[in-house]
Amino acid sequence: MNYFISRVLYLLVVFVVAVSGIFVLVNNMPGDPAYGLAVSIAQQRNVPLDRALEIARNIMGIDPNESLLTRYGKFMSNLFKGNFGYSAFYNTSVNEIISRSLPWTIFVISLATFFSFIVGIFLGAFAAQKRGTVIEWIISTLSSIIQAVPPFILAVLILFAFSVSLKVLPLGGAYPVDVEPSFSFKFISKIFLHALGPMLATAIPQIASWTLAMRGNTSQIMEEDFIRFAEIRGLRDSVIARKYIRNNAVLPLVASLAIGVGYMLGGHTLVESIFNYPGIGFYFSKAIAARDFGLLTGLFTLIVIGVIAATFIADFVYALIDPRVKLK
Amino acid sequence: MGLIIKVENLKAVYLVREGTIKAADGISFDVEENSVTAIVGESASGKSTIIEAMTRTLPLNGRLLEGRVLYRQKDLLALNKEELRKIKWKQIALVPQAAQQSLNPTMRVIDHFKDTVEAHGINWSRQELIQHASEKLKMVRLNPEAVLYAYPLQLSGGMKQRVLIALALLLEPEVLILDEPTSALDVLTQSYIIQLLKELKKSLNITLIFVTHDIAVAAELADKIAVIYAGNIVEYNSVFEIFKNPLHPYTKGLMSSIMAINADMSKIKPIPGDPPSLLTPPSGCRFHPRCEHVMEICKKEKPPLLTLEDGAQVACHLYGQGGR
Amino acid sequence: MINESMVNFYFDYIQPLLKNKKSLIGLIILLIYIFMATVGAAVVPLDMNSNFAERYQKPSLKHPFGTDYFGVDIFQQIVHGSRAVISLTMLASLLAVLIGAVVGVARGYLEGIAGKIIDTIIMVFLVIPSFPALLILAAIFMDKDLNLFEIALLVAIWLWAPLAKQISAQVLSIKNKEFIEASRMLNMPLSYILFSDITKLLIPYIFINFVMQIKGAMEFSVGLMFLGLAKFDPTHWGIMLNYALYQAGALYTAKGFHYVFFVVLNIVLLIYGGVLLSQGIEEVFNPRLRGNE
Repeated sequence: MNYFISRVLYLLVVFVVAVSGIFVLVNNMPGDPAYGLAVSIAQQRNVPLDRALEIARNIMGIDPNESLLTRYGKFMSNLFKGNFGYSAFYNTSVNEIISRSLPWTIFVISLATFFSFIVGIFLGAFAAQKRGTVIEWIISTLSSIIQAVPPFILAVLILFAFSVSLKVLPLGGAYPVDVEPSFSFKFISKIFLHALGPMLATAIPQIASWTLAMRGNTSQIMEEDFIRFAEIRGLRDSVIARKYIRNNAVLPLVASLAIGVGYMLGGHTLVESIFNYPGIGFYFSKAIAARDFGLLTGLFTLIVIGVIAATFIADFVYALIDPRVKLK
Repeated sequence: MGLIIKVENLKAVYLVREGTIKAADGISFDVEENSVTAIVGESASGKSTIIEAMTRTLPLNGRLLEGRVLYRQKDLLALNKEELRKIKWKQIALVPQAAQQSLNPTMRVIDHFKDTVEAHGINWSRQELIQHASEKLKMVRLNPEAVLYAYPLQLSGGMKQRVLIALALLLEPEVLILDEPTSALDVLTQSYIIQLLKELKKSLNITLIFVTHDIAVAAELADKIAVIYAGNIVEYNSVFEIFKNPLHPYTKGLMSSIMAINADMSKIKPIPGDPPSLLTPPSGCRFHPRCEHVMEICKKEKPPLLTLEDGAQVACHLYGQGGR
Repeated sequence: MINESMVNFYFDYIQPLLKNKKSLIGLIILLIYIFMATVGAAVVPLDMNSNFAERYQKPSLKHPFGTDYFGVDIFQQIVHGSRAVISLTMLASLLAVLIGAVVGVARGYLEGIAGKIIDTIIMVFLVIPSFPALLILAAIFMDKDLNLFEIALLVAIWLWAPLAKQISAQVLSIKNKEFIEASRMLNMPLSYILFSDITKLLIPYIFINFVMQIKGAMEFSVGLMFLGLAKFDPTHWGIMLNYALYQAGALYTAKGFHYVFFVVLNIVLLIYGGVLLSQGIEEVFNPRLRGNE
């Protein structure tokens, strides 16, 4: 329990340092954070830009004379109240944007990760057992080649192949604009169809890396003394493969699964913007383009929370399932 | 007492990047029922290879070239995989050298017992399993309650070694083979394990074969000793005879180097030179470059394992053609 | 002395790599691209003038990779772009490894508060997702004309942390080994212990990790260029890819397929070389992964 508390405190320190770093970074971006909102206010209300800037700053709670330190204090105290800030570009709270975009991102990431984990475990174990055969060569070569394709290039290729050329997948959005959200089969199937592109782009590189990791783990464990001892005891190959090899090879991967999901939150930025899929990565790239400081900081903070939570869960899960760690 | 195991002309090699390691070069010996046989040799002399080849548990780069291993008239090396699997452990159990890493780190000790029993088609209830396992654990002086539900990393080195022995005794095999049962253990635990094996030998109807580099351990436990040098048996005799009257020049050297501990320091005669590489072993008798009695024939011809009148077996040209 | 250690380095680290199939092929691929960047770029001319009569020519003897939307030879651009790609990737990997090694060794050696602080810094860089952070950094410097070194540094900042963590663990484990104890007992100065004993052990480690950084450095630098977030040599493959897809819309017409294909092929092949080499290194220096020979 002592370890538990000190770990939480440590991660809290890491969180504060990371978020402070991001805050400074974002606030050093060129441009006026209120500028975007001011322009749209100026157009809508037909007021001069100077006045619009004032209004915008008022809405966003920015005082131009405020020091960076005061703004930082405000940001942090808001953050600990659960308020992620204000988006000038979308003219709404960051919390609102998160609640509308995060579910899509989690939907795509978790499904893609879960699917690729299962496939990768299977392929990796299979390849390791077929060591030295053509099958192993094909599986590991394909996986290595996929690893060499940057994920955003893969996303672009999938988009052009399926959405532009073959026209079997939609060009963007989480569901068609002309379909009313409901719990109908039609709507749900549309949701899956729209998520398919981002899911493929997320899953394919992951399948490759799970496969390679599982193959490496498995072939290492196949040479362990306890495998030989199981053979000596006359155990059947099927029992050895399941209880002795696979279980030991999968355990460390289950822990990285949690960390993987955390990092996917951040790595998903480009995939979502390429597919125009309205998850947090999509809004993140919009925020960069629009110099929307508030949105940028808020989303970034959210991603960091995700990674830290994942790290923590991974530690915890690992200790829970692996007796080697549990007993220390 | 009848013969239980007869090894004939066993040859095995390891394939490595640099070439082939000729680790067992025509090994032949007999083992009598309910006897204790020690296979003694320096490290890398190929002594472990012999028992690995006998039980067909060579590492992946090991290759069995020829030979027969007769167990009650059945050639173990000619059996198919499934036939052999059924004999393994039930009739012939092998405790490997790497006792420290031989248990699955993510499984409790009791599950190792369970898997072993299930592999041989025995239908014990949970209760029976616990009862049998506890009995064997007690036999090796372990507290069943403390050990059965432990994970391997909760056990000390000596405890793991004893768990393996208990596992080996589980199906009451006729033959128990142990590879370096005392290596990698501290001195106290070593003597404890030796004591234990001695008791087992007395209380059970079991044939023990074990490999060791420690001739003192062999002297304490064994009835017969096979001395291995560079992949060959150079001498095979009863413990008593080997210590009293070593025949092979290598055995003589070995003995004088051990006696040194409690004898006059001036009498220590370490064997000159180093053991040969098994990648490129010397021609003829593999010991000839280090032998003080070397003759012309030793460089050309490999001496066969001769049986002398009193039953001693030795592979040395000094004793050939009515010599001695 | 130096010659001897160079020879040892060759036999210990280079020769085994030439014997492993994966690392050999990976090395050959990388060398081909290095050759392209050095000799190739000096020999092959580059004519960037638009020539609309020759737009979207299929690959031929005259234009091995065909021509692009503006009728410019793609092969020439790839060859000249390899200069920017290779130098940026290598420099970023090198910087990442250097930062990682220095921070890692420092962490491994320092105890108490100082160690904790470095630990936290490493952890912070581990939990900040690198690609989004890189995008923000790039946006900050977008209006400034960054030179090669600055862009490489921008990329390296987001690559060094995992390495530093590994190295600090390594240093911690070797720190208490006898020979370090020995140099302590001999009263050698702390700095000597740090940089002589430990770095000697770390050189192979650093060498291996340099190769392993290539994939990340390539991905990040191509990504930056692809998104148009860093201005650099217009023949950098990331920028070429951006032109091909978004300025020229090459994939909207069947004629433009080869334009995208050759750019992507070269990017992927170069990264694949790095991936293969690091897989080979892993196999050679982690004997448990080695197949049975």
